Amino acid sequence: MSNQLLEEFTVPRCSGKAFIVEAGRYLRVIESEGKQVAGLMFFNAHNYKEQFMAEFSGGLNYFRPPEPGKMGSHYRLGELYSKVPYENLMLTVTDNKIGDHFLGTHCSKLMMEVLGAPGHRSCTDNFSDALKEFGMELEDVYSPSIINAFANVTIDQKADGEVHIRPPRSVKDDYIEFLAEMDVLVAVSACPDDQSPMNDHVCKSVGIQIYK
Amino acid sequence: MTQNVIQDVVVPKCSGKTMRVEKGQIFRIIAHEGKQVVDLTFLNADNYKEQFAAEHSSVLNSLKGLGGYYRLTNLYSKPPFENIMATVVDDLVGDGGRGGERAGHFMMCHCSKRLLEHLGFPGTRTCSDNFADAFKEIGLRQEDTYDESIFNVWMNSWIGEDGGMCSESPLVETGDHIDFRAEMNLIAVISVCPDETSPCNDFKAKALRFQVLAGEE
Repeated sequence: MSNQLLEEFTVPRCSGKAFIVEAGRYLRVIESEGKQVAGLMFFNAHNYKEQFMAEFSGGLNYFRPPEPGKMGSHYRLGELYSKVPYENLMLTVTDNKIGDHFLGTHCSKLMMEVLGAPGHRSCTDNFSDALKEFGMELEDVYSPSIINAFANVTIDQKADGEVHIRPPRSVKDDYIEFLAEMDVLVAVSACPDDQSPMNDHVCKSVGIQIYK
Repeated sequence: MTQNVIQDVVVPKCSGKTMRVEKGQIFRIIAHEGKQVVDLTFLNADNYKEQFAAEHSSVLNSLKGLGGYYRLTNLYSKPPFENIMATVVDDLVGDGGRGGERAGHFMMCHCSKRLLEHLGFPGTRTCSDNFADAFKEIGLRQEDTYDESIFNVWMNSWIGEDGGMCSESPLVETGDHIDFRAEMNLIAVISVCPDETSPCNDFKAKALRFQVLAGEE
């Protein structure tokens, strides 16, 4: 695909960044170093109340006609929908070689305490910093519903449904590409968790490209 | 032990409602007519921005060995709050009292207009409608809430190997209950799930009974 590269930047390790992607443009989230999770939140750029809802999208993808199970699931998303009552298509995944996503929450202040690292930086801090640039407070958004791109996390099928966190399978230069179906505000967190296997115990940067 | 019953209501099938529960009180859900799911979320009664976060709680409970996506002990609010809003203090089904391979609840989203369209049942009433009605009772609009991240009580669903959602009929039997102790003043927001297209409510929507009990001194 010979798309025109409009913008390119790096989200440094353990930091967050928010930016706009206009409808019809492509967003690439790139493993600039490999084995690093990128937490991704999306908002309608003209109505921040219309947020991407991750787990909800997992179900909508899985049951989507004409072939249920083909479009996506909780671990691999094809279409990103906004929360109730909107339920609009916000973005479509157009390239996804690795395929691993985890739809759900991000690491937080309390999670770091539970992991034995009180005071450690978390995705909560990254998203909070990123959204501040657009005048948003974390209290006014539903941050724990995100795509954890490249995350190799599963939910146990039995018993209590515990989560199993394994190191990402991605390597340097792997990417996920999205087509914006509306003007979207994107918030990216280069996940700062070095306490669990989430980022293979080393925090790294994430690359961003926007194409026309 | 007889606990003082402060509220006792039967919520009709396919409807939504809010109930206030003060800190220290017990919120009890009783399976009134058999296998029926209740979609449940909680708001801090003194700050509606502080809302229960189901999947976030699943991961926190999992890391603490207190549950996961199919059972919770502690119900946490969303970041940046992350307070314990309620504690599950009695859970026959979740503790394995009705058998099953899984604890028997499901921490995730509810049925919605678009989901039922995808499933081939456009125009069917969904939990979205119930929650919209319930939130109206306290002057909230669905635009201002995150009701997709909820505690699906007695919903016997799980995430399969491919990441897809699978469901079987609830394990709960008539008369069984689950108790939540309020750790702050709460608004419980209830949807008595109207789904009759899947095993979630054993293909028939039913009523449920809710009680608020005085806490133990």
